[in-house]
Amino acid sequence: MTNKILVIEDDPATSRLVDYSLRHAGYDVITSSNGLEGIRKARTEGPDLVILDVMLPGIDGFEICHRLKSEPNTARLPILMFSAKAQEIDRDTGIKVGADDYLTKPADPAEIVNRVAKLLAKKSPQGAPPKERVSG
Amino acid sequence: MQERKLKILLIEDSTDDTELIKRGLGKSEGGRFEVTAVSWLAEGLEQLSKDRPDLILSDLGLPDSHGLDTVTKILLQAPQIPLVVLSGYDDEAVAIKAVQAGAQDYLVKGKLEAFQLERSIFYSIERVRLQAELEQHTQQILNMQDNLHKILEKNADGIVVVGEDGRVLFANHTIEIMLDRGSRQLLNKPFAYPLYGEGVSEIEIERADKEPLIAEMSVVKIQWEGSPAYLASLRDITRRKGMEEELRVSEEKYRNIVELAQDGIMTVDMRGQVTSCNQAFLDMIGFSREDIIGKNFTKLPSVTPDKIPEYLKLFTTILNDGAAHPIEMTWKRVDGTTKVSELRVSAMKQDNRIIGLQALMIDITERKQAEAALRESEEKFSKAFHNSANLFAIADINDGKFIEVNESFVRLLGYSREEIIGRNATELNLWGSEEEHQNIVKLTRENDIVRDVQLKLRTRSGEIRTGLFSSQQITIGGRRCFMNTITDITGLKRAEESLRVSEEKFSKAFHNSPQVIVITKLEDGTIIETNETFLRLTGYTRAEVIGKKTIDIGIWVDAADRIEVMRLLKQDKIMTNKEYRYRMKNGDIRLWLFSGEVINIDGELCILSVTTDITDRKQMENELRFSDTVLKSLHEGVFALDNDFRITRWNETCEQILGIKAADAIGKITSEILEMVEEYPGQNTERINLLLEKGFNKEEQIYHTPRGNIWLDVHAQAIEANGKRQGWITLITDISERKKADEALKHSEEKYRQLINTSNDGIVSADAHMNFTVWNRGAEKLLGYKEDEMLGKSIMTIFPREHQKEVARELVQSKQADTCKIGNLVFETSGQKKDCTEVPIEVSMSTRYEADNFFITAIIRDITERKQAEEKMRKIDQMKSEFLSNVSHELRTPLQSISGFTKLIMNGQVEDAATQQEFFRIIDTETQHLGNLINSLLDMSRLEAGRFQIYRKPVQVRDTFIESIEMFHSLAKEKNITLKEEIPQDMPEMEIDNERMRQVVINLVGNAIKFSEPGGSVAVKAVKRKNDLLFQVIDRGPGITEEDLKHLFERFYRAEGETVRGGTGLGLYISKQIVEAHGGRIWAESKYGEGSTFSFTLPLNGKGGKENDK
Repeated sequence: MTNKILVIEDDPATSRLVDYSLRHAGYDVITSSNGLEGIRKARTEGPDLVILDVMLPGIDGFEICHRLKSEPNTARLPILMFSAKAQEIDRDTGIKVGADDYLTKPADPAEIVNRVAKLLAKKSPQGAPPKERVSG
Repeated sequence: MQERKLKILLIEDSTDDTELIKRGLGKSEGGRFEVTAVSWLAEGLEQLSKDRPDLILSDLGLPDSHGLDTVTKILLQAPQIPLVVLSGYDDEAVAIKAVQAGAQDYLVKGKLEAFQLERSIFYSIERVRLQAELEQHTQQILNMQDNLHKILEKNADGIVVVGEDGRVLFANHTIEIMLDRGSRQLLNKPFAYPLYGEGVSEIEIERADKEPLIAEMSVVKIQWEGSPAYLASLRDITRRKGMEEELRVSEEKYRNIVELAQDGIMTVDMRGQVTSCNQAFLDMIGFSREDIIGKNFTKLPSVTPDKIPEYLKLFTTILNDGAAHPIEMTWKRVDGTTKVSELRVSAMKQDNRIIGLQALMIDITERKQAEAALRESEEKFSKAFHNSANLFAIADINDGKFIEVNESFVRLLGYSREEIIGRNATELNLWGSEEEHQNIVKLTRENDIVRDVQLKLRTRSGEIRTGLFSSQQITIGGRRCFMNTITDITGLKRAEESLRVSEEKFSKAFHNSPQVIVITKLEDGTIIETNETFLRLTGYTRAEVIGKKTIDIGIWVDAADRIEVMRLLKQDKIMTNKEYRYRMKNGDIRLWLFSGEVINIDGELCILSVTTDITDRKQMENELRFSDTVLKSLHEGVFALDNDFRITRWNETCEQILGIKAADAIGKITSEILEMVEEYPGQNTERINLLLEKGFNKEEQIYHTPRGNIWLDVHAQAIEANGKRQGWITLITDISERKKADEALKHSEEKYRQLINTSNDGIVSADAHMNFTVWNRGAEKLLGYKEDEMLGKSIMTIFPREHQKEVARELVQSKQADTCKIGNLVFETSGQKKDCTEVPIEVSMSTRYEADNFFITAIIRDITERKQAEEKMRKIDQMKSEFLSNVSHELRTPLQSISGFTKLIMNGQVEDAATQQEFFRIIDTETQHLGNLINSLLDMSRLEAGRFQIYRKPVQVRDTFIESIEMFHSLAKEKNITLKEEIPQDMPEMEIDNERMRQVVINLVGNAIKFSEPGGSVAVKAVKRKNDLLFQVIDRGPGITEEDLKHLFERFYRAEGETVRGGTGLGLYISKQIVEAHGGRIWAESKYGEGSTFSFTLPLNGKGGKENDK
């Protein structure tokens, strides 16, 4: 089964970039440009991983992460925070609210794909990386 | 009255829970709660520093703090605000720990009922308030105890508290001095003097190596530290006692003298009532004292009524001119006999005013008897002289002129008495023969007595008569005379007989004289004759002295005195009133006043001496002199007054202190020579009334004197005898120097006080009990309390409760740090004003030790402005750092797209040409965006550096606006926002900087779209007005809070919540600079929740604006 990645990102250009890179690597991608919609999609669409921007209109990324990690349905969902906030404290806050990994913008699209693969492997060690499956 | 809303600070990260609690509290009656909700502890703490809530409601698990840490951090910052913690089911144990750590209560989320929440809030607030009140009451009680202790400590009287077991529990400084013991020797030791319940007593205090001290002790029962005890207050009255004793001794002495006097002494007051008499007086009249004292003089049983008018006349005379005329007075004694006394009456004066009469009564009964005898003798002699048939003539021994002649002389010689007196025999041509004349002259010169010489006398008619002439030299009134007798030879015997009788009478007078009369031989002092008075006084019998030499009897105390008497009498023949001492038979020494005369008795030169005993009078004089000396030697000024304040005594010290001689003072009323300065009109009358009422007064007073104004310590005390006030004794001490020093000190203090009071800083001092002793106007201005409110109050009054511990800690540290005597300390804290508001202050405190006591002086400075400035700086720093963080974010976002798509294309991951095109466009757009961002930053930095410029060109402003707005149509559509433009065609051509104006419009419209929710609308309007052009952007977005409106156009400012929307916080700031550079104005209006309107104007005349307009 193809892994489904939920991208919550308000900048349309970045959203398009991540969407394209992940699809190119063989993942299913759904996107959301604001927090409330993102949370709803995380609950209903059953993604395998969430890529989460921090600076979002309405509810910010930290809050979304905390909520997802607080709800039993989504608590085990791996979250990769992907933010232009590059300070140490931002990263610490992300980890504190339960993010599984934190990636700073700008990042190489290959690195985004790489991190996603690692997190999915950690979640289900017996499962092979999806890319290999697709290409294989 | 409407209740103030309770401010609740809710720290809760779960928005659901926040909503739930807000809703719960919202249900309360009348909306009593105003809830400020934050989701992070840091935000909560910041909110606490801005606005003090009535209660904090906090979750334990927050994004930035967990569990008990949360409680600790909140309590650290706001220990005084009640805290209620919120916990989940699972961490209720932690919540209980939180309550133990200082939270007022906890509530379990999920089990929460609205009424529980409300009840918990009210309960917590009330509990904290009660705790605060309890602490305040405790503090007040401590203050009161302190004050009481101070009063006891500093009291001028000695104060000691003794427990029921008789042990000393407390002793103040004065009592340590009085008892000459340190507190260590007193405390917990038995008190040496008995306390007989409550009341006043006098005690004598023995002190090692010091004068004993007399103290007046008053005792009251009190409660001391919860147990019954006695409080004894001791006042030193030693000096007063000393004076009273001295006065009593002096009076006693006088009384003794009066009692011992041999003459009767009696005093009568102005109403004629006998006020006193001595024993001699009582002996004289034979009545008892009770019969006499208090009776009117004229009603005395001894006074014969027929004499009363004479006495009254005498008294009146004395009262009128004061001259004393001794009179004789006959007393009827109780046994019926009579006594005669010489009554010497004189006025008794006090201050030159007669207050009564004093009578000295010398018993002259014996003298009167002698005098009567003498008079009888004289009378007889005179009759014999005048009626004798013999011729008698008394002639001067020197010139023979007649002094007196008898009737027979006149009749026989035929001259009248007037013709004879004053002439001599030769002048009257009485001599019958010159031969006989010469013979008689010769005889009388050679002999004192010539007898029976025959002679002839010529009468006026020329008749010659023959008689027997006898002559004798006599002294009459100190004048030497001849007593000539001429007798018919037949009448001789009768004349001789007459003479003998006369002599006998003279002898009686001699013997009965009240004065001592002695005749001694001039050569050897052999006593020829003495009178009875001599024998009575000396105690010798006649046989023991007659024929004995005075030297042998030993009557002269000093033999040299007799030699002097001999010398003087030989030289002058007569001497009067010399004092010599004589020894009586029983050995007593008496002082006699001696008068003597050399007389010739039977051809031998003798001394006729008449003396008076003046011993008693002398003694009295000496006593008086001694008493005066005592007065003089006192170092204090002493003056005595009678009941009318007339001065009767005035010692030398008085003269020195007041500059008034005794002679000028005695007899005057005090107010005539001294003026007490009044502090208010009528004070002197009050003083006099008080003095009359109490009988004493002790006061420090200013007097007007010839030496100027003098400060005196005046102690006036009534003199009382037999329960009657006799007058006053007043002691004065000059305390001007001390007062001057006091005054100088006061002056100097006043100067410092003024200096202190003019200071804008608060200057305060506190004593060892941490109570204010100085509180200046600066402090009043700063904290609102007046000086009289604060003196004696604890310094803690000016610190808010939550800072008191911190201040106390500072004080303790500065105390401990005191190895040298002075410590300095500066710290910032918060002060609490009278109206309970707080003000940030800086306290510069210096402490010092004096006599083991800890004193503080502090300068308190209002640092509100400094704090505000610091706060502003802090905010700007925070804004800058947020700005940097945002700039970084804003730069990174386009970079991500640019570099990401570039990498994809470069790595050949984008095979599809259309997709490649799409990506290139994105790269291009993002690059432009990046460029714009960088331009904004550059604008900002130019503005900062003052290098921002506009370049005007004539432009159709409508085009400028339309072009700028067009850029947003696609974005608005994408966001489902209606974008309307109402820009009329008749827009003018204006000289503006086109690029910059576009920037402003883009910024405003961009913001409006950015903050609008999908389905919203944005309207852009432009209107040409009389003098300017108005441009407006109206949205239906969330609106802007009032607080945010104020700061909207400040650089780096971003409204609450905008953080999540990005932006540099520079757009509006730059827009404002651009509009103002064009001479226009930019502003924003908003209603929170309804939308905002941003407006700017441009002046139609084009020019104007700032200097950066090119």
